[in-house]
Amino acid sequence: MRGLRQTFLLAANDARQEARHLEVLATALFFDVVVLTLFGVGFAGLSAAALRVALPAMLWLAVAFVGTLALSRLFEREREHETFVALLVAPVDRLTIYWAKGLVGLVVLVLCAGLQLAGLRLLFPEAAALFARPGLLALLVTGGCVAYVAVGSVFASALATDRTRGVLLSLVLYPLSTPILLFALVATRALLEGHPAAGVYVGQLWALAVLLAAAGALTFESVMVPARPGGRSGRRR
Amino acid sequence: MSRALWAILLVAAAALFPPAAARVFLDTPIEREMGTVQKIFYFHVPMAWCMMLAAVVSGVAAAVWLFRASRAAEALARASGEVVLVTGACVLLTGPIWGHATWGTPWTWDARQVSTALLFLVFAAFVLLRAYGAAGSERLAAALAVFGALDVPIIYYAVKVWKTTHPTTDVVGTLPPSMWRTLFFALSPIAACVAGLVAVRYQVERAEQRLDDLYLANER
Amino acid sequence: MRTGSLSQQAAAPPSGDGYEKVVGRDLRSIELERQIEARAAAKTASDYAHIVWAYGILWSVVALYVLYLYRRVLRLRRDMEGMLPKDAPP
Repeated sequence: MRGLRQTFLLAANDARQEARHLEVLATALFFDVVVLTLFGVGFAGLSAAALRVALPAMLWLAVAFVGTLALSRLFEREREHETFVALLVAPVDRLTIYWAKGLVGLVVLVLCAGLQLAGLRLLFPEAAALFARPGLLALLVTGGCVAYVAVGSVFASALATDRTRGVLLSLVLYPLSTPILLFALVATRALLEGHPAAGVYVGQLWALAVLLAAAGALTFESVMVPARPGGRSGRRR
Repeated sequence: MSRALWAILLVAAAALFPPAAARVFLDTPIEREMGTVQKIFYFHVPMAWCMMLAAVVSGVAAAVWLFRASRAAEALARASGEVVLVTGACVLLTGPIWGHATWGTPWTWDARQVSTALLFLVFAAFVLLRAYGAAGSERLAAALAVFGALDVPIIYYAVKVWKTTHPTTDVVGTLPPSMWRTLFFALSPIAACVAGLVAVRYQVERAEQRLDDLYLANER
Repeated sequence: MRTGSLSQQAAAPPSGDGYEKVVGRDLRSIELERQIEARAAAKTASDYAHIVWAYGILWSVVALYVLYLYRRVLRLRRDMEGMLPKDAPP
């Protein structure tokens, strides 16, 4: 219960900062619009059959790009203002930092995915089939974003704390997140084609998301703060 | 890990390889549908199994290192991670050759091919990060290996989820018993060789760790 | 009815000039047989080429890694020898 409150407080803090400056959201949404425009220009002449294959890729590629941008900004901001160390020594369970950052990242990513979907619907009439089952579509988009944020938050945090900023987040994150994108692609395509198994694919995507969130929660603290030889004594419970 | 273990493993691999090759080419019947080219299977599939096993070992060792700061686990994670790259290169190069002969195309973007390539990329990132990353990147690399190992079961089930052109995962079950036995016979030299390589690399890594400690002690 | 791949022709009646027509396979059957043999030979040759490539690449990769390990061990040994004089007792 206490953890939940701390998570909410940290997330609210991030949300308040975001509301003041709109830094992450504005850049992410702008990037989304740029990508949409490029897709619109590049794929305007595609046939309906080709579009059915391309549309899921357009959606999830945009999510992957925007996700990297938003997550790295979310943690970089803390590092630039030198508040990350303060966050680490604050009397909160470090896991709540992961949940809070993940929650804010998720909101940004879902908003961007929503904008991307609306844009795709506007640009390509073939995308209308995606909206035939809005509930499933919402579950699909959220599931994909949860899975992406679960992995992304761990690595974005590690890059913000260590002297490894030279190593790009995308270099690490893209190979790792491609299984998520593959599952999401299959589910989106099934939804687009009205395949009866679309629900099963969305379920599998959610199972992957839960698995990755659990793995992320387990590794987050150790990635940020080194363990002491022989055990967990170096980590605060 | 015993110092002589790697020598025993590599000698065993060298001794087991000739009878395994003889068995594959001389004593096992030719597969009816694919013909002689199916012989690639007896070394391609064990290599893929070894790759997955090395990935799991690397992931588990990285997790132990991450949580318990064990340097032996760190060395094992690095050693297995590198061997994932070696076995992965073998799998990703022999697979398309087999595919070219049986499907007529070397690469079909089949789910298992893509997933294996992904596992290879994740461990390539791990090895690169360990080799060239700045101080502090070790934990990031370890987390990468942990998530990479999580990728292994996804690869295994990928074929079942995405119904594609790759032979299904129960290919071993549908083989005639003679081919099945040959597959396991061929697995032995490959597994011994791969384990031997991990053992050698582990010893080298441990020696380098000790040398680093010596340097540090000398500096002070 | 001709079943199977290359059935024998029925024996021809004697022509009366002292010669008897050779009883055997007709040209078409022989050509067909040669075609099938050529195709099988080409398939086997292609299969063996693929196998040689696959095994060659597989063991080359392993050999390259062994070479890399060997060089690393040599470097390590050099580094260790470089350390020894400093630590060795006078």
